Amino acid sequence: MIHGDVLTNCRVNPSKERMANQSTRMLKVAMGPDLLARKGAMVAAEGHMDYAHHGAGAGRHLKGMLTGESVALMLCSGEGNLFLGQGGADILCFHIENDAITVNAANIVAFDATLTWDVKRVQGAGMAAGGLSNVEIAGTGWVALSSVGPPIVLDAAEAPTFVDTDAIVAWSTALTVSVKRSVTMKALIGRGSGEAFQLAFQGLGLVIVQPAEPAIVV
Amino acid sequence: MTDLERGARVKLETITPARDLIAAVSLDGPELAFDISCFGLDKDQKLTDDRYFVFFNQPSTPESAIVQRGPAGPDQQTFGISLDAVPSTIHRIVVVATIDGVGTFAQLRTGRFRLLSSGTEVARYDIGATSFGAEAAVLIAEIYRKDGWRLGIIGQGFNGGLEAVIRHFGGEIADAAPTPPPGPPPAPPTSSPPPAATPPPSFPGLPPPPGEAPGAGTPSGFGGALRGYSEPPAGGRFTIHRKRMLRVGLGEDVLAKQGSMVAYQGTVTFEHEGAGMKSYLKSKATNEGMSLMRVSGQGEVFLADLAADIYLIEMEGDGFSVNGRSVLALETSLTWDIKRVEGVGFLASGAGLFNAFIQGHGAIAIASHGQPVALAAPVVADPNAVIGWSAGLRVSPRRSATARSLIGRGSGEAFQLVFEGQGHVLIQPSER
Repeated sequence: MIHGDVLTNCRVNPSKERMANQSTRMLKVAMGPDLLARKGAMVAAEGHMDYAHHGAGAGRHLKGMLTGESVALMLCSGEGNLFLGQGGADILCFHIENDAITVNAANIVAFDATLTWDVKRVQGAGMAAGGLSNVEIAGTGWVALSSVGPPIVLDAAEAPTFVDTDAIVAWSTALTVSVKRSVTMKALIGRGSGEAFQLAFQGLGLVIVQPAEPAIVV
Repeated sequence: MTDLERGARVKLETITPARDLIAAVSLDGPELAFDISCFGLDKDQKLTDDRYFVFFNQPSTPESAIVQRGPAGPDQQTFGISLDAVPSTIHRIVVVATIDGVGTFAQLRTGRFRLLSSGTEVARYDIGATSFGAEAAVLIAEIYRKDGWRLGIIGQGFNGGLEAVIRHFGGEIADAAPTPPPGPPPAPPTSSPPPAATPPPSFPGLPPPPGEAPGAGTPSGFGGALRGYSEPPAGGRFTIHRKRMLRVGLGEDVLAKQGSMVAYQGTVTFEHEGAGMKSYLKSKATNEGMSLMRVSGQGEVFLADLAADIYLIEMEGDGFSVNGRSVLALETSLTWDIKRVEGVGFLASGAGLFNAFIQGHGAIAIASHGQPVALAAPVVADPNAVIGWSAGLRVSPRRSATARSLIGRGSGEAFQLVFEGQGHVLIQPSER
């Protein structure tokens, strides 16, 4: 027998919700309905689970290829608990209801297969912005995203909100998004590329921001 | 009379010599009922003594430093504040408006906060000029200690009602609390109804799920599980959000590490902050650069550094010698320069050769990879793990020939820094 705090303190989260945080960095999904998950996100499963390649469909695949924002998904089906993680990043999960969110593809962990998704491109962002295209998830169901460090949720209704393109995780699709090119800021707030971009959000909705930002090496 | 905007901060003595003041609030919105209260908080911005929560059921603090005076003229609520009577344990007096019953501050039509002395208005903030979201509470303004007393205009909406504000300030609400029930959840600004996402029950030994963070209010979209990640209500200039993000309330300028901005709200400009050619050359030569940008304007800026943990250092006239790369932000009331670390000599690894020397009164935000430890001198430390030290300490290198291959980072140059004198050394649990 092995003993210790780790066994008594790290039991499975008894939540009956479809999605819950097992810890800040691990997601627990109560399986039943099918789930779309990032390939490689599976950490463990209790019960029988099947994983199938999820074809994106030609249109989405092509768009993804063009924009460099393709996300490789697998269709998970089965019963029991499925545990997902993404490189030790924080995981946040939430439910959307007849709503749509736009997500940076790199931050997608999993979402209900009942939700629809498509690769979208931020209007007004040229190729110079490093491929500002994203995945739009819409409908009713659960969504789990990763965030490098605990995210902050900003309410764009409070004030015009600007977010560094590297720090954006997701936003309400209802928001109006534009790209702000800060000439005066030049290499100062961007990454020394000489081009500083932020996404500007206006309207009613939320913006999720992660605290990770590549540092400038001087 | 001084007209102040959201985020403004002024020394009280610059607007009035008076020590007895009246804080007055008037608010108007269709079919809205407001409760206006005053919180006396400790240095950690917590309500450690609930006798310093002045509201309709407790109209005065024990020594009558803060007294609710009731409606007066055009003002719905007024508070008498006697600065000289405020106990030294109370560092901050925050005026908060909450909605009693149905409605949100998005419906607010007009609003005004005034500070009066002997019946004369000395400062004013037009609350109606700030547009709020679907929030049931607003932190209006604060009078706080910093080189005397200062007035800060917060103008920050807060999800949840009075109860959520009390919880945010660390207060407890008994089951039969005299506080009113919070209003029903505000209507979400999105077209969808708020989803019924109940957070999972907590259980011992695991960190609480993110959705259960204290200070949580009602979400305005996406789902209940996101509420714990909402923006923290304003406190001082620097507020740390979930350890890894620094929220800066603008008013006075702030210096921030270049490239550290992740988001901002409001009208904000960023400019390169020159450090003088000498400092620039030194930092180029040593790769110990502290490249800063000056952040100015009105609003809030969020800073982060590769998800490193963020800690605040309050400087009270002393000096701090710090590795420039660890500095995330500092107040402009502080002075800084790149200086050679005396006594270390030239080391092949270059570590710890040049530091930023910061001095004066104000706050510094430090990014640390893991929770740092502060050790009192004498201390021997790996230079790669040292964040900074009290400026008064004597520093000298020590080579450890016998431990060459064991200590250090495999560079072949095994040495430590020895710190002696009166002061502290801040060390992070990671090599850089």
